[in-house]
Amino acid sequence: MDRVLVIGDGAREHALAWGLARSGVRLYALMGHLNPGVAQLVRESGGSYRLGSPTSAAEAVKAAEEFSPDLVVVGPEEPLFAGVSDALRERGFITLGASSGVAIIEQRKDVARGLQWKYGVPGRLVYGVFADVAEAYSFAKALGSVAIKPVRQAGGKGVRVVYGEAKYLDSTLDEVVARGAQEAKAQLASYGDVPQAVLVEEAVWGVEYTVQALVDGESVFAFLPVQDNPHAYELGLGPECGGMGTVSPLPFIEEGEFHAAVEAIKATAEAVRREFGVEYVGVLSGQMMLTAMGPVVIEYYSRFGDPEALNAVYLYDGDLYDLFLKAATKKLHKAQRRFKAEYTVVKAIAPLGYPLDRRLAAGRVFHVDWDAVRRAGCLVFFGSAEPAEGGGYKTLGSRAVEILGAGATPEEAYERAERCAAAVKGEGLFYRSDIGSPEYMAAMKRKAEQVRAVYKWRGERGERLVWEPGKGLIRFG
Amino acid sequence: MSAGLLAIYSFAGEINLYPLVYYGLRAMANRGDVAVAYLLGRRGLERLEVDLSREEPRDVRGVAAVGCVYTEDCCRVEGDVAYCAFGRGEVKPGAPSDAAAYVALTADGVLYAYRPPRLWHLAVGVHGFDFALIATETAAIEVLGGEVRRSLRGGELLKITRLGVVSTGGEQPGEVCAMEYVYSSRLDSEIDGVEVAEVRARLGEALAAKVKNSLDVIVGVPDTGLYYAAWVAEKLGVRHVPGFVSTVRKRSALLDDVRDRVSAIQLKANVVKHAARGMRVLVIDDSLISGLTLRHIAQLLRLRAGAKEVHAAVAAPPLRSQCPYGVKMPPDSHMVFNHLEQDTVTKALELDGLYYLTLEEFQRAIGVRVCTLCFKRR
Repeated sequence: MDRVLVIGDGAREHALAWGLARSGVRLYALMGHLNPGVAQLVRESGGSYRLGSPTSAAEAVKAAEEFSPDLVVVGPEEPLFAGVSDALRERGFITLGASSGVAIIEQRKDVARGLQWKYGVPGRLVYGVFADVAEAYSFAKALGSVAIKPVRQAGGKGVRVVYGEAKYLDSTLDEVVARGAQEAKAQLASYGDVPQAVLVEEAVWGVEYTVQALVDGESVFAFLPVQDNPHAYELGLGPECGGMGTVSPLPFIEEGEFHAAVEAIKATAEAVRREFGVEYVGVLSGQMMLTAMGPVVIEYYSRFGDPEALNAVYLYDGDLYDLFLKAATKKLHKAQRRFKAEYTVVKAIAPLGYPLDRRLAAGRVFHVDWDAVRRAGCLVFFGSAEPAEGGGYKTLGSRAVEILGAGATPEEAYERAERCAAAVKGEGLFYRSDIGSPEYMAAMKRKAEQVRAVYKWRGERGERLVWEPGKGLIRFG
Repeated sequence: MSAGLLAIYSFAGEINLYPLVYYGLRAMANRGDVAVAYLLGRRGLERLEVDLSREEPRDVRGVAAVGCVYTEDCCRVEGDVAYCAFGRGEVKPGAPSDAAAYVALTADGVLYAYRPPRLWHLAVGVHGFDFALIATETAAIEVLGGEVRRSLRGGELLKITRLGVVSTGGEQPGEVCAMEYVYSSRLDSEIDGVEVAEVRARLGEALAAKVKNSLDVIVGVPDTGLYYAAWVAEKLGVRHVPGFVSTVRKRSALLDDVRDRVSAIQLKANVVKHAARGMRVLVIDDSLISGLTLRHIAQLLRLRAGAKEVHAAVAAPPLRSQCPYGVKMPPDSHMVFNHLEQDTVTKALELDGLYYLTLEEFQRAIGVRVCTLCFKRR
């Protein structure tokens, strides 16, 4: 029986382990906290787990040496940034996970944007990088509508989006921009592995979609497109968070728009190879937005998204272990793209306090009504939660549980996910009931049609110009 | 006319909310000229008088605000909660209310928005990750750079705090006030996903089907009548031109006093003589209450501009009863169709012809569920 070591402890890793377990492998895990779902799958397969820091290369190597896996799958981004994949490969372990050198495409948003422009990756946005908050502000004023981000990946947080067309709102929105730039910069202080700088880029409006792909240095295997929902609260209100739910596949995204994302991913892997002289082996996901300029890359993930991974793993209709092994050993050209003809809706259930007040969000006890889950016919994946002392589970501060409902239609998938979300019982939990609803799907379709009409009309315009008063014309293209 | 309610919540924390409050309310100035807001800042709940006629740089910091535009103050403070409401019935912030729409803000930072099961509209939107926006008019959310998420459902209560958004209750909304579509709402707003302009275009087309005279030109009464006029003209194949120039922007139907109403009409409708001289003119308005506007308009077209014939067409049935739900309108005794027959009305208003949609025609054309109590004699 082949052995697979999964590194990470979130709902994404639980889903990866679930998919791998279906391939009949013996599972092992290295987790920062005891994820009850991963632990159960490990036990059922006859494997075992260790608790330790997933971002420690030394601990990862130690776990691999103990378990001697045929494949190591690194789930989250921080272990990739910290060189866990590099250390495992150096010791001869076959590993699915980007090396730290190439994972920089996610870790450093400024590097990613720079590569896009240097190598002509499609779906570019106009941007600038500033260590000085005043300069960031000045550039933001020239752009009008802006997204302000820390240059480093910070768990999907710290992003501000300000639509600044209305000059009469300047005195308020300026404050949001300036404060956003300061906060984005301040957010980097705790990391210490990147310069403290702010990325300012044009804000685009449209429909978000993520295309996750396996890359083996030569071939690209793309999963079905997924839509994530970054606003924390109901109706798409409130602060940015790690994602409160997903739908997949996306009836409102056209085949050509999916392919545009795949092309961007291919071009990015090629740009990475040319720039750093290293082949990209692992997951490379394009977090896209369909805009009035066509599909653009908002950012990259060097791993599966969370919760996007759940949809991808569930909908893949094949042997996941075999597929991952192909990706890790440069045989991806032999993989077949086979997917279930189903729709999926994922809902993240988070403790009150997430994402703004982690202390408030930690330590809440909840239970899962497993009978109701079975009746609803959906899957439950544990995230930031561990077994509670008196029974049930305890939240650790982030999204505690993610639920996947599948069905022959989007409505059926939505109904299942809703029923199942109600089976997670506890004080102070919340989730977004709007995600995947018929109303939501109709709104996405309308929005997609709206931007599609504009970008098709615009066609290929080539060069883009930004006029910054007092400085001059900046050409992008 | 119903009030324009506004609520803003800043997830980014305390910030200068004044421009958002001012322009959000300014965007609903079609609903009246009194604007007031309550803002929650470091000093607790603070009342803000908003002068819609003055754009001034003010810095009023807060995390949330509620406000209202109407012809009289509709906001108040009770204990540690401020709320702005429209409609009949008691308002208990944080709980459903029978027939009133409200936005409310508590001193400890909870924002509520409630849409009653029928008649009044509220929509919710977002600006980036920082602001939740709630307004009677979707156009107000757009003016604040926001994206409309959806209309609240009938009987839905939205509770917004820094830590979450919770929606309770709510089902398919019952009928909306007909005057919201006919007159009160901005042309660029949507109600329950239906564009106000789309409804007005349908009414214009239905109205055109009733007009039997030969005409040379069609003019609309500013401001609401203009859009109807364009669709009537399109359908009839008659030239549509601007026939009036406004000096002020006032909602004449709102004003109590007859003298105020006439002076408002005079100020907002000075005739463009070239548009009507020697011609057979059809003038289009949204609604007919006392007939004062139409009579004045007809006289202007005939006496000052030298129109050969003046016909009028009105998109809604004539009003016959005051609204029991709180829409401000003149008393029943001022409603001309309660006192005179159509022929007499036509003569009294000095018109050559008068057309309007009957209640049945109106309901067929409008295509959405509306309350039509004000068109019925009680």
